[in-house]
Amino acid sequence: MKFFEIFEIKPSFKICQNNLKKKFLELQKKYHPDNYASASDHEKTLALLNSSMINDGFEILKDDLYRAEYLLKCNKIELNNQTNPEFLIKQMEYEDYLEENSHDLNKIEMLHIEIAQILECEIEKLTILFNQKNLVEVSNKMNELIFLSKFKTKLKQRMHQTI
Amino acid sequence: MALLQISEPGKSTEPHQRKLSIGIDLGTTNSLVASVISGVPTILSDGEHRLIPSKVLYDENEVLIGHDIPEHKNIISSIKRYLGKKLKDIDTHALPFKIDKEREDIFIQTHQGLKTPVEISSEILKKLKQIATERFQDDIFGAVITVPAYFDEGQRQATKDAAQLAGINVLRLINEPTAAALAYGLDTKKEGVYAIYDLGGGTFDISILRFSKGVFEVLSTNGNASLGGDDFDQIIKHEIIKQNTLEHLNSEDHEKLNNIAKMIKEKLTKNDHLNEHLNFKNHNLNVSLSSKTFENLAITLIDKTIQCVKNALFDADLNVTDIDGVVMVGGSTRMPVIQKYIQQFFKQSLLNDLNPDEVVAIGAARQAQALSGQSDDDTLLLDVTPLSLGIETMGDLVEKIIPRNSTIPIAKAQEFTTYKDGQTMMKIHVVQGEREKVSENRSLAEFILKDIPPLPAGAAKVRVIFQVDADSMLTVSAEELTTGNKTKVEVKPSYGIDDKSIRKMLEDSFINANIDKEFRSLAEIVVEANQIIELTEKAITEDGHLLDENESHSIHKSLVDLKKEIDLNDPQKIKEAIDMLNNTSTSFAEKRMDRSVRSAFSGKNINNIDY
Repeated sequence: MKFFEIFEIKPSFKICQNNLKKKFLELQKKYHPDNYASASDHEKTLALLNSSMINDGFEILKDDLYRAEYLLKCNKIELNNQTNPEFLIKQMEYEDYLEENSHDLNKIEMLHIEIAQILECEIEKLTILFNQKNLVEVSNKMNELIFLSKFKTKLKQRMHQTI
Repeated sequence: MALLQISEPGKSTEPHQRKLSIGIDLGTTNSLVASVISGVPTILSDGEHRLIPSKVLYDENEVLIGHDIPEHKNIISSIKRYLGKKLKDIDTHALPFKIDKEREDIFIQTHQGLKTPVEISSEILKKLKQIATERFQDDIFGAVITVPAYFDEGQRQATKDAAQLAGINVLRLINEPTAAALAYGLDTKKEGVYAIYDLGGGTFDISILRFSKGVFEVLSTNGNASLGGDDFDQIIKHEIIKQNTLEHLNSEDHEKLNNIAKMIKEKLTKNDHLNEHLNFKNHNLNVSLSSKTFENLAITLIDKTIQCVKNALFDADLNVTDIDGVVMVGGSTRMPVIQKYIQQFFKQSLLNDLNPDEVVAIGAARQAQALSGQSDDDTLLLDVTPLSLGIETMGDLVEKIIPRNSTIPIAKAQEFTTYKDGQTMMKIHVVQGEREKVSENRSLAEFILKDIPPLPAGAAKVRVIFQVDADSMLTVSAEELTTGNKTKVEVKPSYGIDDKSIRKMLEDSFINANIDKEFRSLAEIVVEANQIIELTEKAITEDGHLLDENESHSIHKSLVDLKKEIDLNDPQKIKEAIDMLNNTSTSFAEKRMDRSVRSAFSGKNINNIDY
């Protein structure tokens, strides 16, 4: 829970992004190594470590999936690495579809929208599961979400390359 | 509270203590030094000039810089292009100076012997420092030096080393486009998202930045560390050579033509058409060039920069329409053709109300003032890593540990495991770049974590920690988690510079290169040796009954000898011990073959047989 503590945010899946960003800048204004450029080596090192930790924490807390994984880790719940076979088939269908249409920008864009919508929907479901404190079910869901998120990035990259 | 306790950062403890700080723009073509004087960032001149040409002449008994150099043929220019590089990284044809081709590192022949790009750059820095000390009649406390955002670790380290050689206390290396944004934002106080298009003499950077509520946040950066105004000169030079069918040119001729090309490029910023008659090697040289023809020749280079801009926007997750302003930096952005295409791309007029040659040094001076605790404004600058950092894993693949455009400073840890039973060493190879294959990225350092307890494959856990500081410099450490065995390396370029004795190490640097090579070959041979030991031991467990007492004894002895040699770290001896083991196990390998296929394999030893 160390990152939530640093940012003075109540540990929870739903967080206020504006608040997080505000706190992040506040902390960096205080601890960034630029403030210690003429300090002793010891203080320089402390500033480096603090500022790194603040950046790392910000990156984890601002991202829905990283934050979910972090909450599971804090609660000592391991990720369930098994993907259910139905989703595995779906996964392969998506990948095949992308390969078959790798030069069709329009189709890639449509798929990107579809995946973004599914992902948004799934994250809503994750919020409910966290509220119900059903962390085991969260851990079962994570693999699918990680795939969707990575696949979405891949589609965006393809769109960027095709343009 | 998980953060470490530090005392409040110093507003200077002694308020009247003067800490003179300077900002230095060490450019490919020109360099500048600036300082904040009575609250106003000011370019310091050497009496006459504000721009100091980045040219160095080693005469028999003195070193001359910039404007101090008379017409001469042995002038070293554009040295920044070679800073932090190895001979294999550069095109050795048509170099404007002579180099020693026998060495791994770049050594340039001068009247004062061989000089490295670090030493030559340090001469320029010394000159800039001298301009400042003469102006203030006082010592300089520290400097901020700017580097292209797209400089890699080696190039950054080389810049720091050059500063140290020049006796300059480096407060921080900052990225050139970031410095420009700082100068621009603080001068105009306009908030928003900016694209900084920085085309210098030899480098191109594009940074996307958000300036809001006193915070400069770099969102992404991209570029090309070897694309700049010089390349536009080259296309004009080739046009001159073509138009006049010039042949048999030596390096002196090339240097002359470079200057002519540069002059024509500059004239083309004000004229639509040029018809020049020049004298070259006692011949008449006619050059006819219209800005339209130049545009057609230059378009490929401009396209390269626009591709970088697109990548930077993509990484920042922004569209062209999200950009509130485009700041043009670097002398090369004066070319009308560049302005035309960049304006078209961003669909808005460009911001070039600050002098594009001076804006970087101005920003550096402001940051130097802030870092020495002499400034009252509490602007925060958050910059990013330009290139991804990772380590080599199985099969020539890179595992990225810190992705590009991560806000710095940043620390990341990743756990790795052994891939073989009883593996006691792990080679850690640190690379920088975006490609998937190790060989296509820049190799930064290699080191070996020893004394991993012999466990089954996959059981040992090694944690590798990457720490990038606010100068964007990397430190890597590795730790074996079951024993707590630690190894730490500062990732420095492999020309191996030691902080305390830079000069000596520079002189001896070819020896270091050899040590590096030995280190690498040791790592490789140890891996090979361990593989052979494992294979042989496995064969003995399975088929040991095939051996007679003598054979068994000699194989065991060879095994013991090889293990001993591994601990002694001499690659040659390890190699000999491997050969010995191979010899003693040949007959064993043959025995393991079925009689009927033995003849087909005769002469091979056990390590050449696939299990």
